[in-house]
Amino acid sequence: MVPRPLPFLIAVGLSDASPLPDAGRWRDRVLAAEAAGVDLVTIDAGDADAVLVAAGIAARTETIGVVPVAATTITEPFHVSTAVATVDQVSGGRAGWLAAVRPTDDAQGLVTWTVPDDVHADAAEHITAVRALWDSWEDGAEIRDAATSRFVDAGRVHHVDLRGPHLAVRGPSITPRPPQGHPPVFVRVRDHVDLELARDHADVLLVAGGVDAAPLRAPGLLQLLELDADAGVASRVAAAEAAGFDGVLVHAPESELALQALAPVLADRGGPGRIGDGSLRARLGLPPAKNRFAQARA
Amino acid sequence: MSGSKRQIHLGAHFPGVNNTTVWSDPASGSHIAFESFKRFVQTAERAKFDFFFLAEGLSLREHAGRIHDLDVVGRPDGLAILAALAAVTERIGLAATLTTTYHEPLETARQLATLDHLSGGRAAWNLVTSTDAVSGANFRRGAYLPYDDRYVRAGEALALADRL
Repeated sequence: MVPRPLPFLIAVGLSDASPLPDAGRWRDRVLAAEAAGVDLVTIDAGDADAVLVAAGIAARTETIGVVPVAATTITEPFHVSTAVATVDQVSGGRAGWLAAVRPTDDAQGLVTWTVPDDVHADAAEHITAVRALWDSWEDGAEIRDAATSRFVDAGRVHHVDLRGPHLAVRGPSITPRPPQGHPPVFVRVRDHVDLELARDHADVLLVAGGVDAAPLRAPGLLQLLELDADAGVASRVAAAEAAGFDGVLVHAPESELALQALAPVLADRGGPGRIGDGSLRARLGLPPAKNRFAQARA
Repeated sequence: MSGSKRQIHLGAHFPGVNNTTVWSDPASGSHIAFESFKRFVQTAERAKFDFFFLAEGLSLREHAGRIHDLDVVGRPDGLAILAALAAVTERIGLAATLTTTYHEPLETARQLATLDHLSGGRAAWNLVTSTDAVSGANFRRGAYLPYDDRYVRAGEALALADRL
């Protein structure tokens, strides 16, 4: 467990299986969660693109964390890094990324490269590449120095030159470093392969299976217990807190259901409010993200 | 069209990454900040422009491995910024430039459908292909495609998007 003076985290998992996302409905659900004081929502838009749904939500919310799902197995790390950086910029530092791993059989044929057997190794390289691209522009690289006619300081924009068994990315990114540096990366843990990936590459673990999911826990990392919203959820939230989890992620087909079930818990916490600099990292109690290139130069 | 007044369509191109974009005047503001995009698009919408047009570039200009530092560089992800702009506009069209060479066909079709639904039917696609190996080095398949293959891939991507 990360020592943190912050309140127990309450996250709501929103999903929509319809391939036709309705912007108004998504917005209403997230605004209701924000008003109730929920810390963050995860966004799973089914066959639609969750990152784009999140971008629209980011433009219309103020305090809540916005964490869309994007699968590593069927995406380019370059596009994921710029898209999540953009959601982070639009939201003023409230974006995260739920990095999902798809089984090989499920993903094969959806993309124009051959999906490898070892999708977790591919995911590890993918997340590594996304983080490297987030670092490829140092903060303050845009200098706009009229005296020397230089728009950027080329010494603070870096090639990342990653070359692994599954993918290679040269960089730099086309998008400057996002406000949070590294928007928090969430990984869902269902078995020991997931746990290994999460331990090495995630900021937040999503754990299912009740408070007895102890074998799949990783000391020192933020862990949220996944629960379904139903009548007994408030007592299970209390049990999760007692068991040492950092928070819960409550799934509900309708956010109203989750909010009703969570009402006793949320009532104790007051309104939404800003924590620290208002970023999702601050809300999670994560330290500012270091930039590998700035550190190497220092 | 006899008897009816012909109208021209007006598109507004965001002045971002370009060697003609003025940046040295402090009044020019950020070309990256969401607020700049929002102000630009909302102004175009008030002025009754038909659509907002966003270019794409998937690498920074460089010479002999060194980043070109004299012009505006740095841009958001095109689709993500358009999805955010859809949430703060009502009527204006939102046109994304997407290269079929370095975007996946299925993902492109899904993303454009997503943007179209989020915006209430205001999305458009400027389909292009890419020739530069510098951009190719940022993607899984590596270097760029030969001329003929680029257009085969583009045709297949467009056909898939139409079918979906």
